[in-house]
Amino acid sequence: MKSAMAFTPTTSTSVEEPGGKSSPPEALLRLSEQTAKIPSLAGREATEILSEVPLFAGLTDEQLGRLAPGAIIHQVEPNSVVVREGDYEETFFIILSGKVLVIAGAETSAARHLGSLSRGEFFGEMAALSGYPRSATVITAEPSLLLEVTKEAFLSLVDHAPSVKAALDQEYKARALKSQLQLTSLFQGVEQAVLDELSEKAVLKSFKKTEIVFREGDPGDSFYLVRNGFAKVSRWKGQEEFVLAYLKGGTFFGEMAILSDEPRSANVVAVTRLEVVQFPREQFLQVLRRYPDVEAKVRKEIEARKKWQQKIQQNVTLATTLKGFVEGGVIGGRDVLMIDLKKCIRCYNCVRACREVHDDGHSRVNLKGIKVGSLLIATSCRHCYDPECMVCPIGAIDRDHTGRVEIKSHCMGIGKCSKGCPNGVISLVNVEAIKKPKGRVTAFLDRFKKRRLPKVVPDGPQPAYLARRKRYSIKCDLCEGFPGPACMGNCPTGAAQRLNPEEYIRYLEQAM
Amino acid sequence: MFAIHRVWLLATGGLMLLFGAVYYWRGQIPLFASEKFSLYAFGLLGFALILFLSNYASRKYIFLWFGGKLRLWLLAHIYLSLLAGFLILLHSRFRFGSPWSGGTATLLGVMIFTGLIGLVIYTAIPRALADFDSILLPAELRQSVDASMARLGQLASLKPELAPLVALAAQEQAAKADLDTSRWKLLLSPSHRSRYSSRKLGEVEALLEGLPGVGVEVARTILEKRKLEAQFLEQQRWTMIRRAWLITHGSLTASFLAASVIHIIVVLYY
Repeated sequence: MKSAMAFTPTTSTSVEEPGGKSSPPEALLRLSEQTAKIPSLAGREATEILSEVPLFAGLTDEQLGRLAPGAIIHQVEPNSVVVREGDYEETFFIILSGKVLVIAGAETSAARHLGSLSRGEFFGEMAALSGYPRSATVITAEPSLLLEVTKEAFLSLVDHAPSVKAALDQEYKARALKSQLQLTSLFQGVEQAVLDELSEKAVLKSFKKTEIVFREGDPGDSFYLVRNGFAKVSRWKGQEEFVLAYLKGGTFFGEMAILSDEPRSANVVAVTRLEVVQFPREQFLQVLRRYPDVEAKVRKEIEARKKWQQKIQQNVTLATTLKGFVEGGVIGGRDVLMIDLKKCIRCYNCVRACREVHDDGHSRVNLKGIKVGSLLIATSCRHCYDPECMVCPIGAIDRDHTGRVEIKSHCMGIGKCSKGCPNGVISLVNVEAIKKPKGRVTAFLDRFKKRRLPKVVPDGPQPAYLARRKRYSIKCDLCEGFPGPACMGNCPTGAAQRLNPEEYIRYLEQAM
Repeated sequence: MFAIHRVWLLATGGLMLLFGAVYYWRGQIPLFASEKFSLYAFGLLGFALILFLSNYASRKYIFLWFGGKLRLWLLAHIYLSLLAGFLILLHSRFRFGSPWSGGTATLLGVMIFTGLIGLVIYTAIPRALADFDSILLPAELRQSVDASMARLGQLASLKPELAPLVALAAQEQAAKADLDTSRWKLLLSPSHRSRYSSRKLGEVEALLEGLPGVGVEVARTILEKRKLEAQFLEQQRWTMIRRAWLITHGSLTASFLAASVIHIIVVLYY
């Protein structure tokens, strides 16, 4: 989407107008996958267009100038997907003309129309401000002219224009609350008026990593819906903490104390950055009294949680894995390199294969890691849901729409990403330490080894700043361009696996 | 893990039954009616299969992404080798024949047998090293041992007047020489897992009883160092066992392939 290209309509997409349920489009194409021409936006023309946007009313030319370099105008045909739910993109859009539809679950049979936006309105601010994936799909309802602003330009403007920040914050909270209430399966069937009333009383709260949401024994005064991030549910047994479960986006908690009218039975602590919607106890009870279906769902969930707790107490492997994953921060990872010590024959083929596929001859797999049961969580990028490493001042670390975090070839080795990563998976390598293949035989064999295209040292004439750099950052890139991660594909016994921790816990539970 | 082995075992068994049936009723199958053709067909198929499966080594070391995951190659290598052995048996009609062909068949049998020993080694290594918390590279293990030694030195220098600490540190220094033992000697040495145990930690703690705080840390550092040393030695030992097996199995495979080529040439010429 960032590159200049034009658009043709995606004919197979079909979405109904607000009111009813939308049928899932047969083939949704990402904006970047479509072809068309986009006019460039620069200089005086840029500030003139931007000054007409209501959100930017009252901003000076200098402030608007911050947006212009990172802004692109898209001419979009009807039924084109502008942003796709779940994609890790962080650009911000303003509608210059036309109309778009906001749909949740667009690619599922349970698509829900969340609303429509037209001239002067904006979208994409939630992903740009929070860094979380897109929460809904946006499709054009008619020919539209959209202004796309990069995250960097958008955040720079937010930092320098308090009025824009205030307006965006307000809109962000309103939309987050509205969409969360509409999308959570718990409140399905609840009338819109009741949801609106509930959303008025609800508060959107953010917690930092390790911050406590509530403690065991606290009064049960609120009910919570997790919007984004992960939290752990635990109890202390003497000096030892026993992790009972983890909570992720879309789940709820705090209902047990409200229904039983007793104090909190466990602690809830944020294990990553956490965003929750908090409802007052009375408001929640009113909904339960009025909608027996909702109460039944809550009680069913309580039963399921009790069963889960029994399982956890009976199964040491499950309990150890859960505790290790939650406390080691593994649960916040999307793609974690786990080595099954029951299968590993210590051949180090994973390390060797990783070294072979990278043109600089450095392995991105470090076998120093944490042991969780019979698994070793290697020190290798986990491509976290909420990467703390993405703090590069020159934007040399980014993630693609699938969530894969990658270091760009213009990395200058500043090292902020390396310091930011709590798991120590990013290393800094001296440019002099690039290991080139030596000898004719090695060079000959290297032809067959299909080393990846040089990224560390880009092809063609190098920009002057790259020639000056002394070091650069390296981390796992999931072997982009190859059929899969080399560590996993070259493990003879299948001990090295890249897995999603949540899927692994589910697998353990099913295997019980 | 076992599910995938079951699939391969069933598939190999099925193929063996199929080829066995073809062999048994070869007289009734038009294509196999010629005795010579059926013999050559089984022999060449078995030889081609072994030739292909011996490329597991090149897939492992050179062609990093050729033909899918290495795990798949290893499973194919194990099970299809058994099938290849069976095809050669059918080819020889369960007889030794001439000394050369009999020798080649024996070589194949020994090769398959060493392959099965390899399977045992591959399952024994994870069990033997299960007690250790990490799978560090040997160089990293040595670095960690050195770091523990340095820490011990620091701890001893904190209270130089305390004789037990200094004595222990010196004792541990002396034990470090073990790591330089020849790797081929390690191959024949017994397991090193007994170098550490919680009982030994208790012994060290008892020695340092009068030194609370620092004493416990010294004891833990010593135990950690001993564990790292044991891991280093044990890992090296198993690496050498695996290497020795690999050399044997590889040499036997190369000998079998050479003997088979000679056998084919001899048959074609005479």
